[in-house]
Amino acid sequence: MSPVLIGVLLTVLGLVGWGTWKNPRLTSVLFWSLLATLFVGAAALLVMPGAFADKALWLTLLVPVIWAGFQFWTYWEKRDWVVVLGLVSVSLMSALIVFTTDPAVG
Amino acid sequence: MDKARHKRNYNLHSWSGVALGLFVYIVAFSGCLALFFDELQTWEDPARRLTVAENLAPIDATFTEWIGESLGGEGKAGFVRITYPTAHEPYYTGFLEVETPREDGGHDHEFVEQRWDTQTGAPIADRGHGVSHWLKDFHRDLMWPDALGGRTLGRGLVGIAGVVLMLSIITGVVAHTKITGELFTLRFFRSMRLKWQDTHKVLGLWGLPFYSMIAFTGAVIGVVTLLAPIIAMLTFKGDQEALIQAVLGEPIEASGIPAEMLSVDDMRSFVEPTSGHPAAFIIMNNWGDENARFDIYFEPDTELAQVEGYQINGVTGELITDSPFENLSAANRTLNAVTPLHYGTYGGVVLKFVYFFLGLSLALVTALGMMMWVERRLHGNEGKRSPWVYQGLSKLTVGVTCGLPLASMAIFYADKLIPVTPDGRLVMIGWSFFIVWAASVLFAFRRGQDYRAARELLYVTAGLAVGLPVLNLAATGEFFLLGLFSANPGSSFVDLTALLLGLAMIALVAQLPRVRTEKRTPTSVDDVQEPPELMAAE
Repeated sequence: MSPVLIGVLLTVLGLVGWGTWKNPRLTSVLFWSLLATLFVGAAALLVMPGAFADKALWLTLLVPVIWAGFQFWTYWEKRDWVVVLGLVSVSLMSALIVFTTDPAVG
Repeated sequence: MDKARHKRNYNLHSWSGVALGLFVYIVAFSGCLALFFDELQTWEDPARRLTVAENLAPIDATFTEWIGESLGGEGKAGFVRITYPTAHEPYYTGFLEVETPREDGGHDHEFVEQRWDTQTGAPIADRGHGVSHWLKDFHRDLMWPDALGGRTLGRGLVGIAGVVLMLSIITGVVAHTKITGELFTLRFFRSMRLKWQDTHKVLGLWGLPFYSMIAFTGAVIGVVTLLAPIIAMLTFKGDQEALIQAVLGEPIEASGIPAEMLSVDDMRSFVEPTSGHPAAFIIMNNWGDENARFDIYFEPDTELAQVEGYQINGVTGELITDSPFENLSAANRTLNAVTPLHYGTYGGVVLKFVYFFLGLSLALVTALGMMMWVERRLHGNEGKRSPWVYQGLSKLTVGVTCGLPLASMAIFYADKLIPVTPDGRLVMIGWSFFIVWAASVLFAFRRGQDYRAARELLYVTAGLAVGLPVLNLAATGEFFLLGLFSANPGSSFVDLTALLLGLAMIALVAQLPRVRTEKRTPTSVDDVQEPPELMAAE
């Protein structure tokens, strides 16, 4: 990985970390909800039953709903940090599935 | 619902509206015009005001020759398409992707397009993409420049407007606890703010089913171009080829052996077995090769299906039984319905007008939300920032919301009055659009009085709309009242619609106040937009 890319990634991580500390809900609605959507979508594609092409098409329809749902939840939940922890946990669990499971194409 | 949760939800609704409301407005308004792409194409290019010949001129030899000339010596045909004439597009249209090898082993891709008259088979002069393409593509992908990520990124950004709208709808419905009462509350004889507030709520609630549908389908069409590939890449650990094959199946490779293709004239007579509709267009893969595969598309018989079709061998005409057209799943059918639902292509021109007015109401709801937010801070007891900030936001809102319709009308005039080569037309339209829009924003800031600035910008827009038939008459010689009864009345309908909308707009704008007359104290009853405890908490 190039030093420039590492620098950009570290800057983004720094900004997200600082943003999360200062305003967890806002950072969640802008960033953590998107990350959770991406990983939940990918994990669902791997673990849900059915033909892969069909799942991919259904997921196409569901991704915007999942994203908007996560965003809504970030301001619905009473406790600030539960929002961040919830989204990060969902992302981590989904990432675990994504990086340990091979796609079953059929 | 407890007060803190209500306040958080209300804040999310208002701040998402303030931060991205203008963006949603732009997408909603531009979408209203994009609905009429077919009609605008005819208005734009007089050479296309044709009628379909009773006996179509043969096109196969001309089409084949055109492909050969376009490919030149080294080029290879990528995407090839022939579209048969319809009432909307009364000519043959050919599209071709020319793949030219580069020295580094890659390929350059160039798209070329040609139309042919159905009476004679002669080519129709190319005028270049202009106002219709600009309006359609500005809605679809903001005409996002390649230097900043290209059209795919633009399309994704438009999709984000859909997600924001979905979020605004959810939070808006949750925020309004007295929906039944608000559905029927329009206090037109109270303060300006109450008028805006009631209109925002009434339009928002009555239009809710349409707005929800348009937000969802828009988000699917747009966001998916950005997010779905990322998700799929995660799933396939970066192997994009494997992903495409998993979803679309393995494409058949070209054999490298040249072969004579089926005649596009003969394929015109193919009919859809169930509906009996003739072929509408054909997409040809591996054109000119022994392994050519032709996808024959028909106008759908089921209203919400985008297309229906089947695949054949491009050399023998044999039906391919394992093509993606066979055994469409529920997911395929659902996804196929998204685009017709979003663009209202399933119910004729009347439905397009229904979409048009509902789309305008969505733009209005968004603009009113912005205006209310600013108004409560500029003239009410909310907000902690300097008045300069709110005044700036107010002028920006006026400039953007009133400038966009003006810029959209101005490019019709630019299209007809500014001489330019076909290749440069779209660029000229783009510059004209942004210059007029930027000038409108500047005007709103310089005018000093927001009410007056809005009225004047809207009056100019209405004037341009009313003048459109005159422009068409002067530039092309077509008088819309006669054109309405011709075999191809598309451009005359554009003239008539612009005239009627312009007159209606003049009548409406005349009702708007010239200056702000109300002088209310922050504690006025009309200022109480949200429950007092929420305002106090802010």
